[in-house]
Amino acid sequence: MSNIWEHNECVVLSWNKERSVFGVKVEKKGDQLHVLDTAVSSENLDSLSLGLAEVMGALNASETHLMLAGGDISSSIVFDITLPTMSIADTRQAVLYELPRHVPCDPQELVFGFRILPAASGKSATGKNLVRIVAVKKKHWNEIIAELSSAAIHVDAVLTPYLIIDPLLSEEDILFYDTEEYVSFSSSSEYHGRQIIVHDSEDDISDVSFDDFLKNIGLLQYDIKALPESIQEDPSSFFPPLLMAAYGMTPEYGNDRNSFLKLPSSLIPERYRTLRASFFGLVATIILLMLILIGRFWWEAKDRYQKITKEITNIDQLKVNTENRTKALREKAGIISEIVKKKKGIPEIATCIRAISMVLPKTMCLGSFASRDDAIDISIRYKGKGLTVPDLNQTKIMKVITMTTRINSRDNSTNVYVRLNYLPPEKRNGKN
Amino acid sequence: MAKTKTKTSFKEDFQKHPVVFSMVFVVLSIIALVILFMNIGSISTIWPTSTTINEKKLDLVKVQEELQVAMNELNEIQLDEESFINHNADFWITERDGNAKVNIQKRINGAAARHGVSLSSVGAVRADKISDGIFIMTTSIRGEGPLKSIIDFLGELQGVQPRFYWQSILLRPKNVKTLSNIMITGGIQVIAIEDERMTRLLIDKE
Repeated sequence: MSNIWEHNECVVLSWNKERSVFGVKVEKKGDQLHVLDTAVSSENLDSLSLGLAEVMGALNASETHLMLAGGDISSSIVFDITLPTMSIADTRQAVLYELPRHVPCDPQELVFGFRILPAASGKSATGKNLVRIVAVKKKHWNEIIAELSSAAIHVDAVLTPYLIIDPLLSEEDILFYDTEEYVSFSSSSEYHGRQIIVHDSEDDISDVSFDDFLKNIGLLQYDIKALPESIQEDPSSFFPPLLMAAYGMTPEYGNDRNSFLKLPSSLIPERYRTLRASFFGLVATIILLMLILIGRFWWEAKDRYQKITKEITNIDQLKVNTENRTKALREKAGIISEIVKKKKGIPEIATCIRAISMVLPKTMCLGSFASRDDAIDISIRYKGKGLTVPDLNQTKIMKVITMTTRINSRDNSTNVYVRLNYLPPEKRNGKN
Repeated sequence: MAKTKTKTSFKEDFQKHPVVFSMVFVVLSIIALVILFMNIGSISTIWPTSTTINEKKLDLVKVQEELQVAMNELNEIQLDEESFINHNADFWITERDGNAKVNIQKRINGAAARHGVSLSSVGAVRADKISDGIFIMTTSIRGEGPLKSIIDFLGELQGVQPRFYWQSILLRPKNVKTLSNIMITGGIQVIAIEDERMTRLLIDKE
């Protein structure tokens, strides 16, 4: 299953001792690799950076491709050492410790990278690893960095062909003329199956045909005539970039890339800008929405709180006003209450007498009428048996409290004494 | 350029005296925390929680109840006042009705004369103070007359304004056998108001 972060196309820019730049673009389709395009820089360019930029443009390369660079690196030294199996960080420390034994200069003046060679060619099965190291003087490394920066090219790694030759060409002897004229990698039973050989002359090693080379590194055949015309006769200048491209498409590249020569961050491609921008945009939108939501909660809470506070203030003010008004009226109310309390007596004496007269039958007469405050005492006198005083409550303006009857045996008359209560207008008709 | 230099200087200063800078930072942080905790109340106002809002709602309910009590009290007083004003005709307002001491007697005598009631005495009007400028004016009468005259006399006094309140009255026949004349004895009360404020209250609302 392919990983979405894996690259399907690789562009390699390689340069030789003359600072000519050779570029290839390789595509991976399924398990097969094939060359999409090749390019070579113009002759007589003033600097490496110009050649790099030219080839980059010719290949229509961009940072969406896996970008590798490499070739002739002045003062670079490649060698293998055997180390116990350990982490990349520990291996780096171990290599740093081993450097003085293999490189005849101060390690402080060097930068280095390494590859732990695959188990098939290394020794991990025995608890040891074969580690291939490339060491370069800082001065020369900085020159390469400067050239790449000057050409405004971002690359994933800067390699030398010797660092990655294993296991792609493990069964072949190979000589990179453009890189190291007299150094070859050979298959050998000694030295753990791999050997870097320094030859006395180029003639010691047989040439490899372009087709064989492609076949050995697992690339599909590519018409040599499709190469730039100047290279068709001797296409070996394309061997380093093709080798690096083939390596870049292997899973090992992904495992090894952390141990290569360290590049400044400014030189590393910034991929997935759109994706990252979208992600940051999404995060920013979420944060913004959250802020809006929080802001809305805050606003609502504050608004409710302020409304309640305002209402309390208004009601408080109204209460104070009401109390002040009550206070102002209270003195007057006290006087009114006192007046009402002192107001005693019956203003409707005539009405009371008339009302009683109207209720009483002609056989009865009002003997006396007396009142004090609201109480009225009347006496009713009549002669004859079987008569009763009508209900004086019919008068509506008085209410009967007590009624006493006395019969005078001398003249056979009856005296009825009634105590009534005067009902002021507001207490009549059941108002009380 | 100057800005860059300043930044560099600060960085250099910080690198030279990291302890001093850290101490300053710690002190500033403590001051900020102290200020924060001292103003925790205002923070709850700036961002009120549901608890704060609920507490405020309870306060609102409390002041609403207090307002209701205050309004009920005021309403009661106003109703009493309104009732008092509506009964303004019951009171002798000097500004409107003249001198009570003189006119009360005049009205009683006039009514008696008009209806043939013979008053043997009309007492002097006595003023008992209720409050400043408010008096209970009382007088007593004694007389006699035919029943109809007495009733008419009482009827006229009942119809006059301001009102005459009979504190007491006694009506009885002069002769039980003949029932020719009725004797009347009674005490009359009138509430007289001279107080300017109460006068205004009663007259202006008329």
